[in-house]
Amino acid sequence: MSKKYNLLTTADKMLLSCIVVGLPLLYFSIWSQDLQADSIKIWSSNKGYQTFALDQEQEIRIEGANGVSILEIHDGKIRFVDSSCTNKLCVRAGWISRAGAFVACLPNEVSMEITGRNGYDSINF
Amino acid sequence: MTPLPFSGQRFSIMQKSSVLLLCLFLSVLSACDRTKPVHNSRFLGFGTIIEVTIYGTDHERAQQAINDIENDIATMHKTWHPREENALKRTNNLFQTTEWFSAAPSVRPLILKSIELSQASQHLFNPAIGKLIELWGFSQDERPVSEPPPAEKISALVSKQPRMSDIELKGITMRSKNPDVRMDFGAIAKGFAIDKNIEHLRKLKINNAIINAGGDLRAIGKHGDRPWVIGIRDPRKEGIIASLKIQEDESVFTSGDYERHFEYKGKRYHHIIDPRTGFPAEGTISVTVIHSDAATADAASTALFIAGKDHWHELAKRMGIKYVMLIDSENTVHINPAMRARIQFETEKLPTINLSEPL
Repeated sequence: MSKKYNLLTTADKMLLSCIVVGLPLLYFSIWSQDLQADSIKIWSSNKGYQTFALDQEQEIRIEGANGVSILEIHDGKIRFVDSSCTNKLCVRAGWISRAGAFVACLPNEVSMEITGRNGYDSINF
Repeated sequence: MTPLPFSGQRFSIMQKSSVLLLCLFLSVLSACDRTKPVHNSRFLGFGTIIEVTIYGTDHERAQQAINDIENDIATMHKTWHPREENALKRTNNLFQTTEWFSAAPSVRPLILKSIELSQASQHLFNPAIGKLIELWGFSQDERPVSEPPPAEKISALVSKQPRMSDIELKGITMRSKNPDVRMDFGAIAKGFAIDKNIEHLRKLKINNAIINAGGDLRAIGKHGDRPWVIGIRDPRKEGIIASLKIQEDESVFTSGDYERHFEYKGKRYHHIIDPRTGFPAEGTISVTVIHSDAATADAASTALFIAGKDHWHELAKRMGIKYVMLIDSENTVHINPAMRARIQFETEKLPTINLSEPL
């Protein structure tokens, strides 16, 4: 070992650089989930969960049990535009935008919900 | 200075630190996994969406347990569905004869529980009105939009007064004294199934979980070091009206006029039929109850919905229910003090609250 390294040993340096790089990494990996804006979780019986951003305007086509369900994200809200069912209760439910809101099209086995910071462990209705 | 174990090999400091960084990165990734100790899974059952949430069990074991629950619920659904060729249908057919027959073991426990709860609810929870439910079309998974049944047909069925107390059990045999008893377990089957599956989870040493069947749930244990938090959906508007924390082992059930319903010529007809009139119960939007077992919570939320804002309190007392919130058709919240103390309203404006006497 040369004189230069007396103050900080190699091990010290490696430890320091790990802390400098690793700590922010660790921080974000743990907390980033909570820092995220509200997002949309769409569930269908044949595909399971899919996640979408609430601020990304788009039309989403989901292949359900009986046909297609069409969902629309607009202006931070989401709704069922159409679905393969007879009563259209899902379409009539209209727009949802707040965390915890939930709409399902049972005949087509598709549901959507908004998850977010104020998430609950389970929703009663 | 003691050399580092690998300092004998000719790696540069850069190489060494990048190996260490890689190790750190990998450990961060695995830490990521450990920060999500919740396992969440959904499937269809009882014509609705079932969601199972498990805390603190490794994913493989949790998924195994959830598969068990899914199979079990599929079996119960088939056995108890009012429109399938099943044990329930055979039982209902034999009730029409008013003769004694040997009871099917798959429906007997549900019948016993229903007789008990029906009695306690003064027959407002009445699973014997299957013929009425069928006439209204609510026994179907998706009722086609058509006019409500004619009033004469409804009153004809109501006048037969089918009740669970018409059923007699002797050993393994049973009969109905009233040939118009036809059982429909729509207001208890989900609760009963949730109870059975919570028992199953406990046997598997899973003690922190929620089973939510179409919005009605039982939660046991905790989410780590905090209690489970439940959001109660607003019955009329989007979003959550109130939240509450689970105390170790509780069921939260809501009966609402928005659940199963159809609209005909601008009028809403919902699925909670008052057995005294044969029509959907009026004056209530929703009733939420908290109770230890799910079957009781299920039956009670239906019975209290029908009892309405004037009679829910005395009936809750009779049924031994300690926490009730009833929203009437004027959007007034009727609530007992213990429930009020546990509920946190999440709406911008506090609703009009009518605080009752303690239960």
